[in-house]
Amino acid sequence: MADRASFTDVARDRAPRWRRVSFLLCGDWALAEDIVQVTLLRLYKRWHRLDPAGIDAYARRVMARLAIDAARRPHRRAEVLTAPPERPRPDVVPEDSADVRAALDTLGPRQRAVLVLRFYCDLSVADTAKTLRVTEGTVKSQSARALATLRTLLTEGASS
Amino acid sequence: MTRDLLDRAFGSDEPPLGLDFEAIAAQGARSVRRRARLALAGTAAVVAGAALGAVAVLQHPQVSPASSGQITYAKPNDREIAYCYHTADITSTAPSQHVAAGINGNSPNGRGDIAVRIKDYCATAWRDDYYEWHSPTVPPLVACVLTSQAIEVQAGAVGVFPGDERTCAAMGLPVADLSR
Repeated sequence: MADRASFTDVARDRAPRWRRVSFLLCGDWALAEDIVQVTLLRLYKRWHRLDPAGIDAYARRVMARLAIDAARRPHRRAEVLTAPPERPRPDVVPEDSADVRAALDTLGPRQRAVLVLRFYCDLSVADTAKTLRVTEGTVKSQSARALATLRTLLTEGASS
Repeated sequence: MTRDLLDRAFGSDEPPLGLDFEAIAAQGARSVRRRARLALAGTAAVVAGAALGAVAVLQHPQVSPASSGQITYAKPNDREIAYCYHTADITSTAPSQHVAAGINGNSPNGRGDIAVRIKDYCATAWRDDYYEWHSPTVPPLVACVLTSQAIEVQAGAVGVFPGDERTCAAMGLPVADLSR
């Protein structure tokens, strides 16, 4: 059971990493931060019931679900996830990351989540399947397709 | 190789983290306390039965054409915090009856003008069931300016309720003029 007093310390420690995971899942820094905020709120409510060793797994599950939901409902994103005015969104995406981001954007939300969980979070096929509540076969096939898509797009991009 | 590829996606435009962890913990704590209070209230409700049901109906005023409240308008005094309400009730202590927004203004200190976008935010909260209000559809929403009669909120801030302008009037609140 996690000690509720430790929540803020754990949140502060993990949030930057979680936001990066969220960013890879959704491709938008502002949305990624919103996802982490909602995740932290849900985490707090379950804090006393969570095994400290399972905090990351819980957070990944919530973030993946929120990112997939957001991607499937773009009309909803437009309402809540507009960047607040105080911090202007950078207009220029660095060139070296633009091609990777564009390639990731071509993937379906679940395919993208599989890729991020498997290769950024280093989860096993079984853990990825558990996180996304899909079968291991689905993880394997989605992962293979996602990698093939990335390979094709990025190779084409590099050769053009 | 794939990990390196994904690392590249971050680029050099990663913004600083704008989350206010203390505010998130405070909001979470309030939600947990309310949930506990609801559990107690639920026990009492079983005992009190129909009597408490009648009180609940009285505490959740429904907007009706017969509402005699006069519709007035006011600008919010505090735009850096705002609230989404589950029901048109400013005195209820039910869990998640109202939830504060504005803890992530994306400004360096985590604050910003939330009033201007609070209706959109609450609409999405309803739609995506952020607060487990379990509504199949987003109800019509109205923004009112909260007064000191509203419990556990910042008076002068905006509260968004299910209903229309008459809902504000029925609670004795002015309708929020959200223009700057």
